Amino acid sequence: MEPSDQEIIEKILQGQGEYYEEIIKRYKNGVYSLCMRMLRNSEDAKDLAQEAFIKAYQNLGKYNAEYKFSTWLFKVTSNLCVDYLRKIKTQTLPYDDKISMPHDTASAEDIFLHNNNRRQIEKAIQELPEDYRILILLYHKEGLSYEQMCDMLKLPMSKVKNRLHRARNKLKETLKDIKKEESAWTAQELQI
Amino acid sequence: MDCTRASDLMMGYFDRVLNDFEKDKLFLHIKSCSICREEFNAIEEAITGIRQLDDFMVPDFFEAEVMNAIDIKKYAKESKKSKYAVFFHFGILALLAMLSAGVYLRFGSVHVKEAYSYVTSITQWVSVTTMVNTISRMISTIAIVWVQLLKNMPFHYKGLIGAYFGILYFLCAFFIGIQLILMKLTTGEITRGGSIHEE
Repeated sequence: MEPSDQEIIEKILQGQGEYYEEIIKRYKNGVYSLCMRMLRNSEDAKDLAQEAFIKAYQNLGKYNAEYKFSTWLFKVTSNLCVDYLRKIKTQTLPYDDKISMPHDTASAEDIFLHNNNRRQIEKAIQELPEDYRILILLYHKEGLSYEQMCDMLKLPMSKVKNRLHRARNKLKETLKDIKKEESAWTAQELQI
Repeated sequence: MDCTRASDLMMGYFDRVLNDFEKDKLFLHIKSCSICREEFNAIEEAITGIRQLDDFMVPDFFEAEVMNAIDIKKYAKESKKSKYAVFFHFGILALLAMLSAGVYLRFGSVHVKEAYSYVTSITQWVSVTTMVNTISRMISTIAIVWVQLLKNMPFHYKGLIGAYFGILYFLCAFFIGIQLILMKLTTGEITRGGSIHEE
């Protein structure tokens, strides 16, 4: 049976640092994806994701085992992202350059629909303001609770709730616009 | 139910905080109101889409680069350090306590009344306020020195346990200091010499 995160962390704290590689393997894509969606730049996302793992390792002694390790790791990551975005304004890369997902055995049509839908969602997320984007990703993608997000972002509960509600509405509107725009473009192409 | 209330319930639904009764009310409204139904479906589609988003794959050598950047022996050193730290602190504290007791047994059996008379004789020459100021200055200086000493010890604790050790060190130093002051006050007096000496 696979050891739990907690068991691995205990081993690391007892001096077996090589076990940290297992932790990285478990969460690297999640952490990298959060950075990628927040920063919109693969180089910066990689650097920040690595920084998050390094920071988490250095502060592993402060990790409270009452909470899930992944939550704590996402807290470290999102704080780094927020700090980074405060310092720098990133440029949007073309989406195709960034996405390199593995494909399974689904049919070509399924893959096309899945990719199309995913691309539209990614685009809609990227168009959200940073404050909204982080909340949407942490709550709906990473499954964090309101309390965890308040603690993570040092914001009062009312503010987090309001922002998330506004973020959902904005996401819905943006997605609607993207779909409308794309169907108009497809109709135009078909006419030609 | 009006659409504003339905919109509130919708957010509650996506927050996963609605009870069964509220859910039923919301779905009943959605069935009959096309505008709210459209809104609900659009938000649900977006949220489901987010939940189902695949993770981006990290570039090659990601783990290796992180593993190279960290000190994998960091916690090995610290756990070894903390194993010895307790013995180190208790050893020093025991030595200080023994020194304090030794000084007391050798020199410390001063008659309280006599000690009091020495103190009152000093207050004739120096004002009480100046004395209080000097003593408080002395105590704060001692405290600062102790904090610096503790910080520079080869093994030091942070947090509550560090504070406990700090207090114990301070008390030991304080008792030794008192013994030394009493010794100074009674220099040349018949009462000086401690219980062992008297015997």
